[in-house]
Amino acid sequence: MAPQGTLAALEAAKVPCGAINNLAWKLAFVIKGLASERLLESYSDERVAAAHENLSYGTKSTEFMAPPSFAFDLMRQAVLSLAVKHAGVRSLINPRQSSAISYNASPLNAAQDKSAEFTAGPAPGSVLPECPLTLAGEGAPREGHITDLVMPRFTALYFSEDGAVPAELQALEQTMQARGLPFKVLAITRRLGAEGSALHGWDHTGRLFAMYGAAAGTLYLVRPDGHVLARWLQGTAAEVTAAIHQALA
Amino acid sequence: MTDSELDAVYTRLCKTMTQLGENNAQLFLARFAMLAIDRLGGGEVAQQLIDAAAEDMTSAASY
Repeated sequence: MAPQGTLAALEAAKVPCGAINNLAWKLAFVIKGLASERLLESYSDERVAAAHENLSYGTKSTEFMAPPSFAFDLMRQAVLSLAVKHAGVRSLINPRQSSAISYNASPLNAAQDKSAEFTAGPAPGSVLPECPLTLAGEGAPREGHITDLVMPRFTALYFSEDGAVPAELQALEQTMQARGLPFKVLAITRRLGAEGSALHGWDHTGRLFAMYGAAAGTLYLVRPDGHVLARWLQGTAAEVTAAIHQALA
Repeated sequence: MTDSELDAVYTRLCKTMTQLGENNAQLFLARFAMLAIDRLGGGEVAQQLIDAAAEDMTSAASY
């Protein structure tokens, strides 16, 4: 089966790109022997839930684009004429399919009791809310967003004052990479890290920590498709390891 | 209200109005407006919403 043809077929069948991302990393991990085949079962669990939500959106989207009755036509006139000055109605105009779906009930979600201790931020299963930050530490600091830090790997976002990452997390990164498991620890910092420090995201607006309900020591573990796997107000390397093992077991 | 909930309410409003028929649409929307005003509680908010709803009508209602 040619991957190229498979992707084309998925797109032709109007499969949302969330489904493709979801499937891609799981297939890759199973094929490489990094995860058991049970990981593929979670694809079905997560996407069935997503399909239900997409279907309800899809209906409304179509009705907005091609009003099936005078009522939909009238309401569309109302929304379009209000949208410029009233932000609250604008979401009715945006195409629904593009909005990312949360896998709230995913069997992969880990450490739910720890997640419940947060007062803000994305819970396991959710995608990372976008927030601007400064990408620093590799070359000149440049403007970016938190999702620029997400790659097709497990990413541990470690919130810290100045970018110092605990030795046990650095060691974990080496252990994982030695096993061929794509994993990276990246610091999110309140202050710009010192010259020569590793790649980190500097919260130059001061909004990111609050948006994620984070303090120094907070950890977000992100899946290769950008959804949160687990989060801890004060996380340890052992907890990160356990969450990844549970997801891949 | 989340985007999702707004979607659902919007669709429900449209479908209800469709069932009642075009001849009843104005009365239905007027009744809905009165119920919404009653729920708003404060007269000032309602006044602002009346102004906001009328604001762009002169340019928008060209047909």
